Amino acid sequence: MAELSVSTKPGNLLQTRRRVARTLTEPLWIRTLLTVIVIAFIALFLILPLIFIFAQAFQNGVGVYWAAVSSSDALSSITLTLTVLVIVVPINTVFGILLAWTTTKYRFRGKSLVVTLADLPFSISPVIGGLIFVLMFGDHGILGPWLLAHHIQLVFNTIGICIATLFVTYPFVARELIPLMENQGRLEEEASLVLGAGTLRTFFKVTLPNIKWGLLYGVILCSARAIGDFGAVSVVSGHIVGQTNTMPLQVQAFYDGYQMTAAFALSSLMSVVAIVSLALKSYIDWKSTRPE
Amino acid sequence: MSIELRHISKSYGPYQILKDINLTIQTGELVALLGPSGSGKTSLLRVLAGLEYADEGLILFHGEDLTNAPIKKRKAGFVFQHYALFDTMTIRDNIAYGLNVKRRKDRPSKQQIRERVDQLLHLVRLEPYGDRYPSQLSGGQRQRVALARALAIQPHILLLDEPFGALDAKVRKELRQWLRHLHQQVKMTSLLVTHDQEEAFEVADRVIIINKGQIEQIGTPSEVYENPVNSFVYDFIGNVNQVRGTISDGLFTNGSFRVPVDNTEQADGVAFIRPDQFAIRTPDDIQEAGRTLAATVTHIHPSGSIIKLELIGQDEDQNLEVEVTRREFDALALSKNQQVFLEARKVKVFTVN
Repeated sequence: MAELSVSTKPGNLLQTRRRVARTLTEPLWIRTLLTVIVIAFIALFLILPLIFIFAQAFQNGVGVYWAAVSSSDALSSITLTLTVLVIVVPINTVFGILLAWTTTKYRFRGKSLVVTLADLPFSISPVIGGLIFVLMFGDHGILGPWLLAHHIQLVFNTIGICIATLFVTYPFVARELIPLMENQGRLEEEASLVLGAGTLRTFFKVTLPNIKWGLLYGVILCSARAIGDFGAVSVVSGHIVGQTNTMPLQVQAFYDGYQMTAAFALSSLMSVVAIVSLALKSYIDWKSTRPE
Repeated sequence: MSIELRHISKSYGPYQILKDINLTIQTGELVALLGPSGSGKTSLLRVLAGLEYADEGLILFHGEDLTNAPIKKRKAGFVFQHYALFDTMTIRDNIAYGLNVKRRKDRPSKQQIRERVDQLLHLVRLEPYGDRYPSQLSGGQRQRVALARALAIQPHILLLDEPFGALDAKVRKELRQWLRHLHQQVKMTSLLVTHDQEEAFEVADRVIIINKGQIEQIGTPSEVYENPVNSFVYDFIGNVNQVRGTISDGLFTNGSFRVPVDNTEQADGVAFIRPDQFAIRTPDDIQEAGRTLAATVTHIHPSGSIIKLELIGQDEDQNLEVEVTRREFDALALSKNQQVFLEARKVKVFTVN
């Protein structure tokens, strides 16, 4: 007790703070070195390849580039990717909200297990994710004979690709929302209920406005992954050019066929999507941390 | 609208947080539910509002059984300790919320809602702040908005959960008086939860003392203060000196301090004496030696119109607190380390289990 009361004297506090400040600041040369290493790494492994992609894509001029991205194979892969995007992202947005809502607003047995399982797609290789669905729904899979008998095809087509993408991208929205909603608690919702609003109205009027930036952030991450996933989709797609090749799969198809310009052209399109999502993400960061 | 609770009990797993609560609140009454933290007072309020359900018992609003009624049917205005305002809405939208979410056939017109919000902004004296957001208001202002929002739906009862708990002392005092005044205006049946006995006594018509999920005493503030029914209430309400001793043959004894009691059984006892129920005597003018404790002044707090004295009794571990008026203090010319005799005007003895 006596020691405690001594150290809270203002003079001592100032001294302590100064000492902390000194130990927290490394000499200038160390700071410079560490910064240079980080910048060099980013330049070498992230920025340089990006520039290279665009350089290669436009190597033979805009005309060739345009021809490459508007070829029927490229167009079909773009259409397929967009189709998957339009189907998967809304489903996972709704599911993500549902998951975050139930795990943060309700108390139930096994809740922490559900939250942990929600992270599964992050820790498991996407290839395995794809393989699971082939083993379940494929012709020789567990449900295969039954599906075949009922003329339902769930692999090697758009539906299969959607299912695999759903698996890979489902945690993104929930992961953004769970900490946010946990932090906000249930007070405002309770206030709304007491004022006579029903559950749905409470959600749209009170919960949704509070989580809108986090939700948007999650949707963008989810979309970026839905466009770019290779592993799971590669297993379930069957690689049918012009039919079941999404953009990343088509890039590989072009590359394997020595169509370098086409491969890089399609890559450049995907890079643009990535850059736009990053820009949106930073905008949302900025917007959501700003006071109303 | 009167409220009646009959045999309300509730448990969370192995913890029983409400034990057989019976309680009636009359129409227009403002009742304070006073108890230490963890006593179950907030749970009782939430059960009334419908935010939680009781395991057993009945809840009657004006004779109508609403025990299992949904939140909406109870029409209870609820004010939360941490305001729970809608941060993304303006003050006007916050207040209008309860009206805007009504079903179309019950909903007032836009014009009527606007007028109602104007009235309420006037009532809580926040007219200039209607278009601001909650984050731009001070704590006291936010809590007034929360109150206006609760009143907007013309609730049958008003439930206040530690409404001033998050505010600083000065604002708390102001709001307390304001709430008292407001209650006189609107005369709404209200239940206020608090752990602050000063707050409860200042605001409420009646006080309910609750401890460990059970009601210890119900009464007006003066009844509860003057005649606490048991040692818990005595200890919880206001400062009190406790003198330990033994009870035998209808007499509580601690050294030469003897007080007659009703209890004739042999037991340990505690005598409760309020700090303002001591008269300070010199050896010459002791009137009842049996009600007198010898003590030494250890500390004098000379601030304010009441002087607080800390004393130590003849047993080394018997600390005593005495309050005297400034006039008495000046007449006695007390100083530190002086020995005095404390004559208890009013003593209440409880047996110790």
